[in-house]
Order: sequence, then C-alpha cells, then structure tokens
Amino acid sequence: MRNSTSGYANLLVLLTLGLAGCASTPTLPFHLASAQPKTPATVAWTDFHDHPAGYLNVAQLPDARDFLPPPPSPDSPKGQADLAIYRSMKALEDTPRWSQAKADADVETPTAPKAFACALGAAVTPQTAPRLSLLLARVMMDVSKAEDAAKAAYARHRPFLTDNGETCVAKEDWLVKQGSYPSGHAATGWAWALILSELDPGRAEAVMNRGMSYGESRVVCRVHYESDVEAGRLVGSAVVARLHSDPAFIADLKRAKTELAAARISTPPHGCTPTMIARGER
Amino acid sequence: MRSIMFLGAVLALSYSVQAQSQPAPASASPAMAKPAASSQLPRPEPYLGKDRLPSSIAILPPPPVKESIEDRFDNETYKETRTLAGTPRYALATRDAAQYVQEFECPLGAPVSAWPKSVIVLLSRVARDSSTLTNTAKDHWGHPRPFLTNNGSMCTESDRDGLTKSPSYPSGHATYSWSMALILAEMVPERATEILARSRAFGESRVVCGVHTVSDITEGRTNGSALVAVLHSDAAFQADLAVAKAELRAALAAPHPTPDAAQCKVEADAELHTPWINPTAGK
Repeated sequence: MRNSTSGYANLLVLLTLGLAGCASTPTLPFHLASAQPKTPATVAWTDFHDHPAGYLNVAQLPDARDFLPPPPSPDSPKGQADLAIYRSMKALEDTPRWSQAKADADVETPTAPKAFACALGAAVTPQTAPRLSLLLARVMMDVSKAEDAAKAAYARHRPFLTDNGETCVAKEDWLVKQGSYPSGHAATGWAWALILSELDPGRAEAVMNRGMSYGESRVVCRVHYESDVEAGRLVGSAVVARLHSDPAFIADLKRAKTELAAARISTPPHGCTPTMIARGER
Repeated sequence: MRSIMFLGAVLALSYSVQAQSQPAPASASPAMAKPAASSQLPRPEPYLGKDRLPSSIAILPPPPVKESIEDRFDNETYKETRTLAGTPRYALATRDAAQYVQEFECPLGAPVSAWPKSVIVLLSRVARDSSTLTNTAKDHWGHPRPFLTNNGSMCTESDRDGLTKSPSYPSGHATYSWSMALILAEMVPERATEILARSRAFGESRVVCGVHTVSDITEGRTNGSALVAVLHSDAAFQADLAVAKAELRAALAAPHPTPDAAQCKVEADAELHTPWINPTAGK
C-alpha cells in the first residue's frame, strides 16, 4: 500500500482522468438496468438478503485459519508497519483516490463487478452476462465461507477502532463488529480478477491491476490494515484454485466465456479512458 | 534470482535425482543446467512464453520507495531475522533455498519419487513461465537484495554472486511456489490447506535466509496467482493438468513411500510461526 504522499502525485493525476471517465460514471446502475423489462427473468437477486449460494460448502473449502498466519500482533514489526500505513492514509482524505476507495466499497453483487467494467471492456450485469454475473456472486459467497471462521476467530479490531480516524464510508455496525483480518473485499476482488483474467487473458493486465487496486482501496478507505488486504488476496487465490476442481464451477466458467465476449460487443462500458488506475509509490 | 532461468532444467534433474532417493540438489547454480541438459528429460518448454504472458509490471505494485514505511519495515525485518542464524528455522530456510517441487512432499504425504512424471513435467513448464514473468519485473525495477542494502549475511553464501546480480523484487521462489501450490491444490483439493500453508512458509524462508524482503515474497505470491489465472486460459496447460491430476491422485491412492517425518515436523513448526508476525516459539 502506498504511504508516500509525494508518490501519489502521478497517481492522483491519472486517477482524476480515470475517474472522470470511468469509475465515477460506471455502467448503468443495476437498479436502473433491472427496471428495463427486457430480460426480467435474469434478475435473480438484489443484494445479500436474497443472495445466491456459493458452489462449495465450508468443509470443501480451505480454511484461512489453517494456511494464513494469524494477524500481526500490535507490537510485532508488521503490526507496527500496519498502523503506520493506516495513519499515513490520512493524507489521502478527500482526494480522487479516496473517492475511488468509496466507489470500491461496494462488494455486493450483482452491482460490485462494475469495478471491472472498464478493465474488461464490458459491463457484467445480470442483463448483459447473466451466467457470469451469477458466477461472480457465487464465488463471493465461497470466498466468504473460506475466511469467515478466520475473521471470527482472530476478531482483529479495525484500524479505526484502535486509532480513531475518518473512514471513506460510514462506520456501520457490521463493519465495527466484523473482524478485520483477512479482508473480504480484497479476497473477493482478487478472486474475481483471477477468474476474469482466465476468461479474457488478453485483458489480464488491466483486470488484475484493477483487482489489486480494488483491494488497496480498503487501506485507502482506512477500514483495513495492509496485512488484512495481503492475506485476503491469498484467500482469494486459494478459493479460485479450489473452485477449479468443482465441475459446476467449470461448466459455468465455459458458458461465461462466451457471454463475456458477447457482452463486449453488445454493451461496452461508456467513457472509459485507456489508462489503468495508476499504482502509487509505496 | 537469475539462476531461476535454469529452474526448468533443475526440476527435470531433481526428478531423476529424487527418483533414486538422493538428496535434493544443493543449489540452483547455473552449473546445474549442464548435467540437466544431458539427463533423460528434455528441457521443458513454457506454456505461454514471453509473448503470451501478461507483464508483471502492470499487475504488481512498484517495490517500496527508499525510507518509506514498507522499506523501513523490510530492512528492519532483514536485521531482526539475522538473529535466527543457527536455529532450526534458519536451517529450513537454507534447505528451502534449493527446493523446488520437493517443497510439497510433506503436504502431499509422498516423496517426489512417488509422483508421476506428468506432474513434474507440468510444474517444470510452469516454472519456465514463472521465471519469465518474474524476471520482467525484476529487471524493470532493479530492487536490491536486502543483504546488499544492509551489507549483511544470508543463508546461501555460495550463491552470493548470482544473487547479487539478480534484483530482489519480486521473489522468484515465492512466485513459482505459490503458483505450484495453487495448481497442486486444484489437483488434490483435500490437501489444499497443507499445500498452501507449506508454500506460505516456503516464501517466508526467503526472508529468513536474508535474500528477499517481505515485500518481495508478498508480491511474489500475487505474481504466482496471476500466472495460474492466465495458464488456465491455455488449452495445452488444461490438457496436461487433467492428465497430471488423474495420475497424481492414482499415485497418492496407491501404496507409496512417505516423506521423512522429522523433516515434516520441522516444516509444520515453521508454518506456525512467522518471525515478523508471531515469532514467539519459532526460534
């Protein structure tokens, strides 16, 4: 994660360009898109309340408690670096990178994959790519199953609880109560990036770049430590590995590939600049 | 590590060596390429090659800027971990420096000699792509090794010259290890947890050794998962994976020798203690 304020100069310029064209004006918001009567049969769910289940059950998934180290204790070298980075992120408040972090706080499906629209050159919604949209939603649930036990067992306090400070999103009850380690956003975002890169390897650089910055946004937002995000990515990659031995996932993946190609032609996202979201210095 | 260019050859060699139940090669020095070239296995071809691999420069963050929080943490961790010299953890780091596929003997419960050739060849081909992906970023950033930055020791002094010439970021060992771990976890999902834990500690061995920073290994793992994602889009990889998976599962289900229990215990202990996170009993 970036901690050099000066290093953000380039980032901010590029981000402003990127945000103006893409991230702040993503594809049609889902609630508007779903209002179109065209393909109502594909609208399967709206948020966590009626969310589709994952592909696997808890026992089938690797348990993050068993392959990750525990979160760093506050007095360990990594714990101290985590806190210092958290504090340094104050410098980004109210910058375009902060706005990006705010936009990236959406991890609910079917809306959240909009984060990848510009990188993919296609909007992934239940209308444009129903199977892929559903696949990404199910993967998110599997990621959650792989790490929920770790979040609960370690119950690491969010950085803003240890060292009070502004966050890019409201400190909602779930955020305060849920363990900080590992980051579910980083895990899900990286799992999505890996899957989308497999589906379209020609866009892997942009897609994975976005998957990385989506996780970094949690540190910028000041709701996660850097080690939460790093651990989250390991969980994301582990879940994707496990999913590859699941026949239902593989079958959906094949269909999703065709859908994605079609979605690129039918509904390319508007106003995307060719610039990737720049990675700051650190 | 420049000598990773020869990793594929070393893997091929290690297979023939392991098949005779000999110890692992002592190092991945360029000299190892010569005997490997004359071994029975040809040098494996990469699946993707430079033209079809994404650029790791676009995917990974830049290495830490000098004197940034992360850079200071990286260097402090290098200094702290020097105190591990002489401990079992340091001995494991020294051993791990020359481990490739053998790294996964304990989590799979079977020595490499019991693995089918298809698995070794597949992982050797992956190692070629891993090397290309890693070297792109290494050469681009030219980040110095921690033993150079801090003018200190490391666990494989015989490799000092080679390591000095090879930039630090990201770690080639962490890249290929995490990519192999993900592939083996896909083949043997019931052992996924053990495989992933072993790979994570294997990456940590590079820091304990003094040849890599924590940032190097963290982003090496990112690099490794990126590699596996794009490999999955390759038909030849998919076909080889299906064969290797079936053969590995059959081999593991059949009677086979088991890895050295004492060594597996050392590895399991290392997995429980990361020196810069929860060092308590790791020494």
